[in-house]
Amino acid sequence: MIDNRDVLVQNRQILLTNLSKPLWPQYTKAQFIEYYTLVAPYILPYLADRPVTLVRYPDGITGKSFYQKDKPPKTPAWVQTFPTWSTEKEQPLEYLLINNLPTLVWIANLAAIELNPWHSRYITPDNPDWAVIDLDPAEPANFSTVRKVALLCKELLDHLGCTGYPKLSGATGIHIYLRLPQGFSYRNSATLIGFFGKLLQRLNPDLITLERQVKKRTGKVYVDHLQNLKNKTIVAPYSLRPLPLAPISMPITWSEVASVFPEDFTLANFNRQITRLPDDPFRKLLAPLSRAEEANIRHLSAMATKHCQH
Amino acid sequence: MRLFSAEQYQNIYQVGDSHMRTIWNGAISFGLVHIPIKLYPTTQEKSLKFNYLHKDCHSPLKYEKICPVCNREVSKDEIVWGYQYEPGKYVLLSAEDFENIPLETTKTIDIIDFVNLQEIDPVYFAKSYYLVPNQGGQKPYTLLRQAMQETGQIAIAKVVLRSKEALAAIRIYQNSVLMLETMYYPDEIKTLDQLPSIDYVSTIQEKELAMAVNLISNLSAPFEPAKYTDNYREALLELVRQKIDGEAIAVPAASGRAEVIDLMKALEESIKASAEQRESELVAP
Repeated sequence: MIDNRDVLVQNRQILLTNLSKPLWPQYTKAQFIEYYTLVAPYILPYLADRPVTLVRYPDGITGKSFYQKDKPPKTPAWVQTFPTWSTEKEQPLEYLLINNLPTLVWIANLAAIELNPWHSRYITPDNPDWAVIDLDPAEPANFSTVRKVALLCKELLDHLGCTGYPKLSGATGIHIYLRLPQGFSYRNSATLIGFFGKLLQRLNPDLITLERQVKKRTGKVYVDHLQNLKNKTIVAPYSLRPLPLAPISMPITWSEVASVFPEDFTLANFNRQITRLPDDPFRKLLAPLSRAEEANIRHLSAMATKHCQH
Repeated sequence: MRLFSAEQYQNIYQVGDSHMRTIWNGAISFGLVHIPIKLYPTTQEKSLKFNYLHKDCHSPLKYEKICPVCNREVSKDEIVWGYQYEPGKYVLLSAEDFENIPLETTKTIDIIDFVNLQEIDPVYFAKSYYLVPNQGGQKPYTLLRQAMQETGQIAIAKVVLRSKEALAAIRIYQNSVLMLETMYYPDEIKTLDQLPSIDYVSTIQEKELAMAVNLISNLSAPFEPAKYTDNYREALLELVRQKIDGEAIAVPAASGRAEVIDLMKALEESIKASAEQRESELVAP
């Protein structure tokens, strides 16, 4: 069996390795790379110019995994990077920027199953352009509880005059993205979502919890706002997750929220699912906010900051 | 068959001999002095430009504006501007919309400090422009130039070019004209601590050092920029000239490269092979 192949992708030569190795018991590395190749037009807009943390599974999802932020040795010269300083490790750190198909294919070949981009672009590293309401159920709450809470979020967002863009986390949760106006800081973004969580909890305290301690969340959906802080990341739209069914963190429409299941979107059926979406439900997230909506978000942010000070 | 017109032929021998165009009008301001100036580019890229021709008749290809939906060529007055804000979706802009946008208000080069040129490392310099006095600017321009000549200092200024506020230096070029050098901000320059470790220790023999020093002094010469030429462009030009003059051309053979195959083909082949292997494993006891 030919396991290593030299391929030419948009004029870049890439050596694909161990193509027949299973990354999931049921899928080989070739199938995994094929997924990211086909999904490239959908996923690249959400990765472009954003420093990314990779979660690599060189021996498949049942083997050892590790996080990778710094560019690996032998990174081709044509891969764009963002050199910065790691305050954590006190040494230089060169993030990868997945700005084109060859880079995405090369990164897939590293068995990087999960792609976690920053909420900001490297040009304005301290200004996120989206915030995420991260809904995470604690047992016995399940996905249908999350769906209820997501729809409650939608109601509240409508009331506040803000647009949310939902996607499946790929595990048991739902992520709702909000576009932020220019010049927002990471702290303001987290404060905004924290405040939103408090409003939400007031609407339905039986379903929603803001408890940091996991054991106090039992049976409720946790609204995590801290993922919006600097150096925190959330799995990219259309990224695969290293879970048994090979689920996709799939953007969905609001009308789908009521009936969708995480198993609806996996490596096995992505082809059909992607062609069902000629319009990417997330695409407007990258467009600038309308003036009215920007005013609404800034107003909400001002209330959040004020509330935070008391 | 001549591939080039007489005019083009001429152009090949005098690549890029274009006249200078103003790229910016504004004013230098320092203290109470206000100097109206024009900005001209100082450099030009000199790579050769080629045209697409039809292989059979060598006619230059014509570009037509065709609407793919109506399937016909559209005339100038049928064209409007659209800004694509998401794939397939456009907002329309009229000529009026463009006129309503206020023009850049700050069109000044604000001098902040005067410093010595030697203090600035060349890494800071980005791009140069000639500064020429505009109407009414001749006297203050001459004054500034002479004062800078007298003191031997150069000016550090802030300038808004293409809606970006840039740092810049103003210096005297060839004793006659003021030149603006746009500069990088310090935080745009990558620092040494971002490099891989360079604090290794090597021991150098005295003899080796003497040899290297000797080599340098043998090669040392006054800087004559005209000596240096772009060999690739020269060779390409020479090839074009030979073609025009109908000479035979020797084409160097390209070096071999490893076998590369199409990405999707490689993946499909591997997926098929894995599936077949799995099947045979299922069949075998």
